[in-house]
Amino acid sequence: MSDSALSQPSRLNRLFPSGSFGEMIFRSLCFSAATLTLVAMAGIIVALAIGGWPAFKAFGFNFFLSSEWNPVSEVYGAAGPIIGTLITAFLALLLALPLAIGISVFLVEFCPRILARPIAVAVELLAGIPSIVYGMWGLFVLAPWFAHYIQFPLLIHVSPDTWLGKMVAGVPNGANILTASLILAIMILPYMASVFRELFLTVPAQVREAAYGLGATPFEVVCSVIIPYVKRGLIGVIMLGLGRALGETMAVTFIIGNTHSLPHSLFDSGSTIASTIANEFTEATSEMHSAALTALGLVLFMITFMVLIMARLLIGKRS
Amino acid sequence: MSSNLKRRFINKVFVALCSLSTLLAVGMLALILGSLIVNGAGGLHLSVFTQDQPSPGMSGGLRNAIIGSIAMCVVAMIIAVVLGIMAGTWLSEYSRNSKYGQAIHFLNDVLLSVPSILVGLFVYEIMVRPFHGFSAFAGAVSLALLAMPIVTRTTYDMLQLQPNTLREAGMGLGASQGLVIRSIIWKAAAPGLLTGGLLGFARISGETAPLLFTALGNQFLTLNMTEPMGSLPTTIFQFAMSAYDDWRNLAWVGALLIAMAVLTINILGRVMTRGGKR
Amino acid sequence: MTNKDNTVEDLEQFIAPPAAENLNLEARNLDFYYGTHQTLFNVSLPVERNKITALIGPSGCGKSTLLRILNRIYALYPQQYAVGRVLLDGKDILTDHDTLTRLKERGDTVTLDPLGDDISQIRARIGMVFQKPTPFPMSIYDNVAYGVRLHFNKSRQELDQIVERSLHRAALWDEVKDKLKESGLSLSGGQQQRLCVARGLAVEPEVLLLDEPASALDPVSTARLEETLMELKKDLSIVIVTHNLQQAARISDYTGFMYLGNMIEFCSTDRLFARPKTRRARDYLTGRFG
Repeated sequence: MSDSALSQPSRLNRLFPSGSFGEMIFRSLCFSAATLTLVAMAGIIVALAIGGWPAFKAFGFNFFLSSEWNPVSEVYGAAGPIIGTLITAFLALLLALPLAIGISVFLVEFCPRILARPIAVAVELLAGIPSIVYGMWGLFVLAPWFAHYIQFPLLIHVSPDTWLGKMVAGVPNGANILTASLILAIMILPYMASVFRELFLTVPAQVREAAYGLGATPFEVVCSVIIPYVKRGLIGVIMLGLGRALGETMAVTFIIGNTHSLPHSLFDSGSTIASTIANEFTEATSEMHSAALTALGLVLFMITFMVLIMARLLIGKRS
Repeated sequence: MSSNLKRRFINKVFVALCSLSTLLAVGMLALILGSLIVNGAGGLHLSVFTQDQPSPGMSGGLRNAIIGSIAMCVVAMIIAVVLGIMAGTWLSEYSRNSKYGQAIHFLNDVLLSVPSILVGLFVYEIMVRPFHGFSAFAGAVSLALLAMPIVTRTTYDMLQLQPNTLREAGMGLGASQGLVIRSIIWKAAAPGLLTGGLLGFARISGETAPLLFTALGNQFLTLNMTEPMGSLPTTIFQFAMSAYDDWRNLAWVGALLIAMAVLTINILGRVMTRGGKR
Repeated sequence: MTNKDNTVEDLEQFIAPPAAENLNLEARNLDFYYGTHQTLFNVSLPVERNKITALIGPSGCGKSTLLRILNRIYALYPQQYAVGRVLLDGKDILTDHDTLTRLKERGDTVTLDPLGDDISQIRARIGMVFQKPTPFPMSIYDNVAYGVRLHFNKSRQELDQIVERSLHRAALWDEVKDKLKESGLSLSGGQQQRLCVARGLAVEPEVLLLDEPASALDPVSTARLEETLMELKKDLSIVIVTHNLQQAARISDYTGFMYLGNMIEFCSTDRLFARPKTRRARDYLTGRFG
């Protein structure tokens, strides 16, 4: 038994065959627990597919195309929630991304040492605050403020026939696509900022110094060296942020207004897949209604699943 | 030289924008915490913990919801910690480099970020619909499903940190691999494993969406896991969306409680990791 | 306090200092602090034009620190301070607020003659190559053109010429001329290091600082790099930190021996290696420690 054989972890198993019975039990218990991950994953897909099947069968492709969602006449077209999900998630990403990069760059490059640590910790802690808290804040604080200081003035001063007027048309109660996106942005901001910060810290000090040594300004170092250096990981994290925004339920449910038609403007109320399910699932009395909601769940799963897989593939290569 | 001035100007603008975005974020988050305290702290009486949730217009507290939350979280954490530690152990110690192990590792990472509402739908389909009834146990299972990937992942990371010399030393004394894992590796990684549990706990203690159609909610105090059970997040949701002022006030109190609890757990986890790394 | 500012006189205790008018870069009476911990003590270093100056000494003696002061790269880190003067062609470059206050605290009353307050311009005139190759995540061409694009507004043709000339000077052109669009990270370690030399040369610096540039290279790559440096000193001044005594003896004109943050001995390389004045230098050169 040579030392090199021992130090190779993959050989350890073969060197020490699991002899006793108890050993085997422990090992298979661990294996079963790990396999549960696969079972859960497959289970989610299968359960959603079976539960949603009646809706797919009844409405076919119209389920995705129609925006008529009517539990009374039992007609379900999911275009409204699907579009709402995509719009709010992308808007949120658009709002949060530049800020998240700004924060992480500030923490890594410009912040005085004494402040950097507390701010970084605060940002990480705030990423953990439950979404229902953000949602409540959005409903009781952000929405009224938004209606009063932004929506009303715009309604009064902008002619409804102009391009801008059409963008801001809607009931001035602050519950709309834009405020929902704002809340989502606030929610994914600390998460993205703290992971970006970790990514930026992985850039070797010497590479940074080499760029500064050529006389580059901090802006040039960040844009042309640091960001390209972690590009893959950066895109991965953006995808994870998008995944969060797509599947976020409570924060959106509070503030999006929950109407199923296609949103006509930024200030129009709407719905997302997750908010629709959260609002209606317990009250869905008919089979078809709950089937349609489960089908919606499957659509959401497929969207997020693809985003997550892309994210993990991109990030996984890093380590 | 003018291009040089331009570069320095652009850089100044960039630094200003970065500082501003940090200021904006920190300010925004201070605003959120501030409004939580302003709106919630006033209603934070002892009665919140001693009385059950009121009917509209009556006075009451959140006792049933708080106890329900704790009960479901505890059950969920027991499930998640046991399964998660075993799964993480298998990934780290037994699966090395096998294709199946890599696949599980990958799926666990994906499961980590699957929207929680879908986990709720899944548990509804397998536990609520077949037995024709909402139950606290179904709620606990859905929470466990959310916490388990976190525990698995942290366990894996922490076991990977343990040096191979430790494993070799144990086996060199004639201990079996399983014994080495249980008696040496787990012990050495204990603070890290605890952190994993805390992180999972922090994640689920504020979860709302999956509870809506598994545990449903219950306005009375119960500890029977086979019945619907109230929880803080679902009660907050119900109260905040209502039209009654006392309910809304209680919702603020609940939100403050949850935020405080989650922050405390996160800080605790942070302190532990720092201790564990030494 | 004139005795604080008399580096050239101080050097008379050493043998054969470079003539004052030939100095390209000069460090005078430098102290250096990591937080409150002092790592350099009153270190002076003359760098003569078109010569190679080597810095040797055991690990942790401060030779890399000294190099990092010469182009102010240390200033990226908030807890690090240099106190003293660094002159580029007779003009002061350590003119930041921290240094000035600390100079006053130390009791120096010299009047500085600042070169300018734009640190990026100063760094452009003093190139630096690091211990490990540091190619940027971009193509070979863009790596070399990076600094030029920052500081000058050149046409495409001019840029092509500069890139080609720099790669020639770094003795890398023949190896990469067919794959300029490939990533700089695709090169071997030795090639990457010469790419970094080419990148430094492209901005036409007056001084090139090298921090153990050969420590991660194999003997063949090291030999090529040394050849390159011998060729380059016709155009610029070079300061090289090295662990490899043979390397210092082979290529440098002057050598400074440092120990525990002090400049123990500085003189022409031949004299230092043949007849070191101090016992510390003798012990180090004969391999008794370090």
